[in-house]
Amino acid sequence: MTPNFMNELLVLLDGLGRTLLVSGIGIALGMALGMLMGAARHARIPVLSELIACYANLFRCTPLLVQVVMLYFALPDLGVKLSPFETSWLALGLWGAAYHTEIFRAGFGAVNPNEVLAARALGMSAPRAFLDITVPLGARAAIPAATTMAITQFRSSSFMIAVGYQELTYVANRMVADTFKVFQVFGIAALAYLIVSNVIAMASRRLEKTVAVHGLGAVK
Amino acid sequence: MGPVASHMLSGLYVTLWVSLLTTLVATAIGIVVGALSASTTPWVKFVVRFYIDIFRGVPSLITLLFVFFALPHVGISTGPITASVLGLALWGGANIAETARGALRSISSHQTEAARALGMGKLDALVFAVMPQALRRFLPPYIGQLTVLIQASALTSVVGVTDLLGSARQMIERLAYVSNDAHAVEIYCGVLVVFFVICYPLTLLSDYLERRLRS
Amino acid sequence: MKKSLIASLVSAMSFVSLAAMAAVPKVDVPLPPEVKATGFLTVGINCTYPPAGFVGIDGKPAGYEYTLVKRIGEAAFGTGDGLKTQCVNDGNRVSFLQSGKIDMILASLAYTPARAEQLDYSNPIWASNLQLIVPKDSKINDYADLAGKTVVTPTGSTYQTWLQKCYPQANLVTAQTAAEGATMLTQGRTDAFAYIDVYGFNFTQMQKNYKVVGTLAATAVQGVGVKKGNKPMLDWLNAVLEQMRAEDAFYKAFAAEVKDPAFVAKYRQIVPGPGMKMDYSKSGALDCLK
Repeated sequence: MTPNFMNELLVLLDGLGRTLLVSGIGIALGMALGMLMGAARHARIPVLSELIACYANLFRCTPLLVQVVMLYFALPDLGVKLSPFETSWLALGLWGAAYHTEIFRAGFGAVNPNEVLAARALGMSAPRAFLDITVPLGARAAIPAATTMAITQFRSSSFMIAVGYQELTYVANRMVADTFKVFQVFGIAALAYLIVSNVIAMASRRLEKTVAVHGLGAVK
Repeated sequence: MGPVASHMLSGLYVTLWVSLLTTLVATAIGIVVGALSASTTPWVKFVVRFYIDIFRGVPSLITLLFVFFALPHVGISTGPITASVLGLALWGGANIAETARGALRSISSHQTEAARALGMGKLDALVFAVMPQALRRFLPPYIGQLTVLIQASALTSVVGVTDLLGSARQMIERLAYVSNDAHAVEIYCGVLVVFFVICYPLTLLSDYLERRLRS
Repeated sequence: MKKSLIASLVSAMSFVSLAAMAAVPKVDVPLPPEVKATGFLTVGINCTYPPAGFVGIDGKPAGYEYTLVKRIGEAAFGTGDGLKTQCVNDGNRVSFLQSGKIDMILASLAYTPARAEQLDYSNPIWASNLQLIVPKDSKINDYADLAGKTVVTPTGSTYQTWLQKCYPQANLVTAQTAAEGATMLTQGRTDAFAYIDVYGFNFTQMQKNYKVVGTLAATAVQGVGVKKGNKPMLDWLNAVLEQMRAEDAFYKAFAAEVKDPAFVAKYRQIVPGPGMKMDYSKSGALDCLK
């Protein structure tokens, strides 16, 4: 392997590291927020449910690319100045949360209501029943869809070139502009995304098997 | 604000045009590949799987950049719009194909057997018995895919197409140069609003179809 | 009566056409046949980098580079519809050129040996220098003061490479366009904005809380880029550029765009003119300051 190739590979790996970092935080944020909001919607909390629905619609019906640019340039007017890195995971998280809301809400909704009834009959309060029964079972039901969304968030981290965050796609784009090795550079970048996506998917299937509650059907 | 709005309007036309072309090409690719997924020939199944997995797994922006830069290298000379449409359609087509594949699979094989039992040929069974039912499962998520495609058209500004986002950037650049206030927030808000106005009705349509077509 | 009418008409027409031809003298080198066949020249230009190339409020291209582009277009097809422009950025301009979608690049294309391998440069047409825009009370006076501080520069420019190479201790951030870099400065998210001196000059005219500092550096001698190996185009283009140099077209375009005579006068000795021909040896786009 020529030294040039090693150099370029290192630069790409550096970009990949940044992609993983910003995606990891964005996914965690998106899932956490999504779970909270999904719960609120499932419980049909008045006013809050409607607001969350508005939020979800807004963030799902507008391009992430424009959202991230807006966050970068509009927030300072409100006094919040974020670096490209911070804007990137925040944008990924807020956008992802809009989708995770519906995913977790569907997950909670898929929990067999008889389980909840049984818990109430045993004397549990409604909030207790929700926390101990609906959330754990609903979250498990939501794992497949949430994983798909997480992988989508991971791929969407490529949009962060719009605020100059030097993740993998930014780095690859610059390298191609400088060296014109279109097939090699984009090929390696594409491969990296594919490998990580598959790793996430496999880890998720593992997780699903590990946390499965035997005998307690989560789906109606 | 007038001249800014009119320049962005021309950007909007480009966005709509790119969205339309991408939708047409992606839908064509998606339906053909999705239908092919029902085939039993091993190599056809392999090619279908390969295409869907690769182009769904690789970020749309990478596919777009790749097509844009690679075409001149293999001697094909096209404009940025054509290259963008091709790149986005390859990605969008994979997503639509997966949706179509899922819809087809969800129709149980009993349907095919029943149709065959009634005397229909293999192709007839597919076209007249399975597909109409699959269509009901296909349409709502497909409309959802369309909204994603339309929003993805904003990516073309990265390769230099002067679409809505690109023209917005140009106006902000100009305003920042000649005055203190570039009105960046207002202009980007305008872009968001336009996309929302295009996309939200489609989302409502998708929800409506899902309720109506639930079998 | 009729005969003299026709005669006067014919002489009037020939007079007009002679005058039209005299407006833009033809060059000795012929226009490349493929351009002649299509009937128009397509040029890649900057659309987000004032004052060189940007989009005017009417939606049409503007900037001193565009003035030069128009002049080149006139040399090809007169003042009619023979000119088309395509907005390009640093990432895609060479791709556009190689795919034949544009005939040439006139977009602050600085000369670097690496780029010269991908395309052919015309004779030099301009030189621009780097400077820093900082807040008025800033302690930064030159590039060395950037160590540990944040500096923003447009993405993909030779300035980005230069800063990375010569001042790696500075915290370099990139912006997609000039306006975004300036916005980052005014929002206080960066300690300095590194960009061409002309932009800095104009910016500080409007924003009184900022000043321009720094030695003129990273001198980028710019040229027009054409597809590698396209000798007919290169010869024709260089002939037109020679004509423009004799007309002092470069300096005049700049003076028309940047309306401060004192500042513009500084460029007299740097850019091509009747008595001054540039060459790429002066280009130090990637040379660090001693």
